[in-house]
Amino acid sequence: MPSEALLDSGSEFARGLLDVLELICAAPSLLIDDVGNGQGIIRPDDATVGEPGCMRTTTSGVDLRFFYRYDLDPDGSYLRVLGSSIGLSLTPTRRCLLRIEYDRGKGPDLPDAHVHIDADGALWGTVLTLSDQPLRPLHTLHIPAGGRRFRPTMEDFVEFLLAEKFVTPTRDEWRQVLRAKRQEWEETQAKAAARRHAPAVAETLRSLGWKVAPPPEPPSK
Amino acid sequence: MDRGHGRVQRRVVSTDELRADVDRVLAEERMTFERFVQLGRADDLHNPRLRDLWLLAGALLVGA
Repeated sequence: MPSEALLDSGSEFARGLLDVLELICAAPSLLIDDVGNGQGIIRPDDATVGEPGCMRTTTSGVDLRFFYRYDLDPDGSYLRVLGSSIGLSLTPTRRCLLRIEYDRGKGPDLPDAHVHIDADGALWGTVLTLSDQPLRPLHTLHIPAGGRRFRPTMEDFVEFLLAEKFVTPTRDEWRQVLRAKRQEWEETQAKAAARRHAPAVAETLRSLGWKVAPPPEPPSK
Repeated sequence: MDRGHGRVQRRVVSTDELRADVDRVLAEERMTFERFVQLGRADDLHNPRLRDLWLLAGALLVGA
């Protein structure tokens, strides 16, 4: 796959991210790396922070930490996120207290989209004991979150940080910005879902009065 | 490629450069890359900082 196509798609995705990141970061800087194996990585330029994936927010000591790992679909037409991690990191500890993670094909018994919480979880320890499991930290649990198609996004996470007042918005109209960006995301995901479930989508559209016909059969060779 | 106050920088890097970022954290946490991969694949990384690193490291493991 040509590197330019990978970087072009990543750049477009990253520019959309900047619109959101600029709400909570003074001058967000992103790197798009083509690592030479058909995959790209989008992440903060952490040169000034010193911890991979970390970006300073408007609140000193509270960092945003994220990676996106992606490739292009077999046609080379669409960016496909293979994995992403978006978290709230405390500068002194360099640990993510909360992380929304997406790991495509994580495992048969694990949800692709999930949340990790790093906290004291004595009562969860009781659950593990009652279910005959060894004790393990709370942050190792994969709390399901929305599935592959409608998983939480950067917009959701930034909204959480702002709504809970962990960070200060750089713009008063942050709600409108997030609403517009979320609309874009939902439309993108709806298109992807339509491509994957075309017959079901056609059926729904017909029930709404649309005239929908299947594409012509490709000519036989 | 600037927009607002933000900036996007495109690079073509080698997996070695990415590996260097990963190795720096692993050295601080006193873990070898091989052990890190073994634990990560088994979803058995209990060090939260290393768990955070796993998705980034995944790009190194394509076809491995």
